[in-house]
Amino acid sequence: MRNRSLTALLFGAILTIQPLSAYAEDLVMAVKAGADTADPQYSSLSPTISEMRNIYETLIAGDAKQNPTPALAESWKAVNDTTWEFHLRHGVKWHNGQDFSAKDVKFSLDRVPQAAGPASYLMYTRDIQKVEIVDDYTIRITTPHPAANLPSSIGRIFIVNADVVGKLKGAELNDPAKAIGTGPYKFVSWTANDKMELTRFDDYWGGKAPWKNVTIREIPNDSARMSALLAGDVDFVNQVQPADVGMLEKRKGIKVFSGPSAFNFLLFTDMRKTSPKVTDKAGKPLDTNPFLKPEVRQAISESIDRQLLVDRLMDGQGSVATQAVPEGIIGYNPSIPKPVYDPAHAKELLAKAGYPDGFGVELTCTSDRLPNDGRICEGLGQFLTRIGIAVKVNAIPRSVFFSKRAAGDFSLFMHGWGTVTGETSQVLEPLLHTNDRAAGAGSWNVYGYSNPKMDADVDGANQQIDPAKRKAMLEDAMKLVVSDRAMIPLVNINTITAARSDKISDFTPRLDEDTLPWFIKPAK
Amino acid sequence: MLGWLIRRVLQAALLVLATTVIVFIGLHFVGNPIDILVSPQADSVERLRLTKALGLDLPLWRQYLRFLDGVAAGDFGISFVYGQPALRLILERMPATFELAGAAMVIAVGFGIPLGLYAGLRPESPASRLVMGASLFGFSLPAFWVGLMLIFCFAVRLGWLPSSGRGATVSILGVRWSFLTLDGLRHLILPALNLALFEISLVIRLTRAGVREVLPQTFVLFAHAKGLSDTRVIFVHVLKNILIPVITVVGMEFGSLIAFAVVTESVFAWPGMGKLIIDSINLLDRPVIVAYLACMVVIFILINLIVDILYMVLDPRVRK
Repeated sequence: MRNRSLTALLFGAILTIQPLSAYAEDLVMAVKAGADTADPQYSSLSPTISEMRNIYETLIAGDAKQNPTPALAESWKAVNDTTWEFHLRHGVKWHNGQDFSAKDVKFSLDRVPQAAGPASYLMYTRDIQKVEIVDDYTIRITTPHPAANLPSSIGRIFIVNADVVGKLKGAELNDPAKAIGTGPYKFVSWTANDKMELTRFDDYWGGKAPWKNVTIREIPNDSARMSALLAGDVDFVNQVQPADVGMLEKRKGIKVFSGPSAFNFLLFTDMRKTSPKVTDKAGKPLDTNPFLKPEVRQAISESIDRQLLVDRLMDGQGSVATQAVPEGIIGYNPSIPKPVYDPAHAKELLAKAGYPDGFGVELTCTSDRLPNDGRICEGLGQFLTRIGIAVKVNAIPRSVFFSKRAAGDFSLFMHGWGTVTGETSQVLEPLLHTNDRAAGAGSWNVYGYSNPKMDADVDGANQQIDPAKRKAMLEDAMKLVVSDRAMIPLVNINTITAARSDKISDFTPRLDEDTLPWFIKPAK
Repeated sequence: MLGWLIRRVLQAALLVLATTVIVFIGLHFVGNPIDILVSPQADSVERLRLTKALGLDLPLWRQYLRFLDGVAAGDFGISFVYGQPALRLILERMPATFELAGAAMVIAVGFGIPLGLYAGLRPESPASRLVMGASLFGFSLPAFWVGLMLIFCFAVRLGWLPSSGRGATVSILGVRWSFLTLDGLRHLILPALNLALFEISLVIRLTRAGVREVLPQTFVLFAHAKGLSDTRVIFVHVLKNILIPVITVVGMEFGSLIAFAVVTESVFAWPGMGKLIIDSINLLDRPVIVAYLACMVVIFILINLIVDILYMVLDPRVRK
């Protein structure tokens, strides 16, 4: 205590010259990753989307649990199997005072190919055959075949101002006069890799946002981001590391908000005839692939104590996964039971499959992508070793992991996945559908899993306009991949954010991990 | 002199060329950027589009020729991630890094030379031993850890200084500088000190060694015999002589300061080139990585050139 007052006395002078920029109405956030560009249609990756949502809006938004909510479209319906009609919101103003109307929507949907960056929105517009303006507030979209995903797909595309944007794209939109949206915040400035500055749009149709000025700073280094919060440089941080939660919760003046995210860890086994990284115990390559035996896959699943992974390796910040998506996502099947943990039985299963002494395999994971990925990988290695499988754990940077994964270099690998669209088809179609280049399905499934029944469910769901039937098909597909053990679900990851409690009273974590200022409630 | 300069420039050009070849081939083996850049939902059609759009469908040697073709026109390619010219992305961040490295150098020389001088003149005093002992820590402690400790002490515990970022900046000739505002200066202190730590120790040791070497020489004895005051002997005659090796090493070190700023920049979220390059390596953003390394080589060569010239100016013996 004496120390403190001495400090205050001696350095009061320094404190008084601190700039008075931190007004109560202003919010400074620090995020792990920020936008890649100022063009809202350039990148469909979460960090860019999360920042763009401040300035631009989509036809359909999602609530914290990813349920679709009306945004620029007030309602939408299927007129027939191949035609969708969207009724647009009246009285929406652009930041420059112009009225929002159907021509902006058509312009924006047509612009997607020109604006496309590496992670483009082209997958979302592929089903569009024609966009027609019926009147100023009605738009009609025709598809070549029934496309149940259309609303959720085009609902993700940011709508830009037809008059202002014209032929501009990419960095040309990094200008307050050009970055005109309809969102709750107006663009002030943006610097790649550094920060975005926003100011409130007072004529926003959804009512005034709580913070007047918002600064979103990009601080990728986890310790640096936490220090910025503790030092009071920022009011809110995202992507808190699970290991830091205990320390933050004990600190006065800091609040931690933790909740389920759309991200989880799934374990995949190679299902091709032969597999590159399996050997016998002596290290000689095997000419058959043990993972083709269902008993081996079951044994692997039963050897893992998932609750222990959550409690010890994830510091309690997660939950046991029963399937490929966490609860709340459309197509999550509530009838699937919790996976069994029974290492003794797992050993028996291995023996039954013809591997009483186990075999050798390399387990590959990322080491720098999602919280604790490397640690969980090591934990898995130990579980598998206990039932006799000699595991070589190989946790590698994502820049190397993804290339090797796509090249089919793995035999057993853990993949983190986020179902950010809120629909199971986003995980089932690319990861588990039979690899079919012509149809564009199963693009990540180069490891040979194929179940025609599950393909039929996923394909059928894509064409099924009736939401109830569609949900039933996706739930059935989920049941099939779980009982096939086409992937072995491990754990769901929590999204953790933290804030200074003198400025922020509450925040509801979202499944998609977006941190939107108007969901951050000011204190008082 | 002119021939020497031309030779140096030619050498430099060859070096840059060699660097780009090595980096190009090396990056090719690390991984395929498509797998990291593409959206998780992308299908094969989308992957193909991206591969074509980024020019990665061509064989490596043709990609390299295309790159050279661009470089001849001053274009290092478009960043895969940001969709902006790679060179521009780097040049935009260069002032921040130069500012940080410059401030570190000022700190290193400002503290290093007086302390080293003292330690050299009074090698047996306890204070000198303390300085020399402390300099060992400066050499051996990892910058990453020291950075976190500085943040912990001065930003988190004491709250005197901000923990990260650049603060307010003033724009001069279109370039933003933060050392001209009070807020910017407060943001600059910790990262600059962190970066300077190694250099302070280096300058202390160099200066001390220089002083110990020069003091017993006859010209110092002669100066004393002429009846000059101690201050004049030390600050004019001794200092002038020890400055030559110090300037050489400090100059060379300026290059490594810029290159090693990577660690400090990521700990202090300083928006310089280092932060950009780390992100680019993680995302395999080839054009940015190649352009950054080419810039680094050019900077190193320029610094060496300047040091050589300074050397000639300072030491009449070299000019002969």
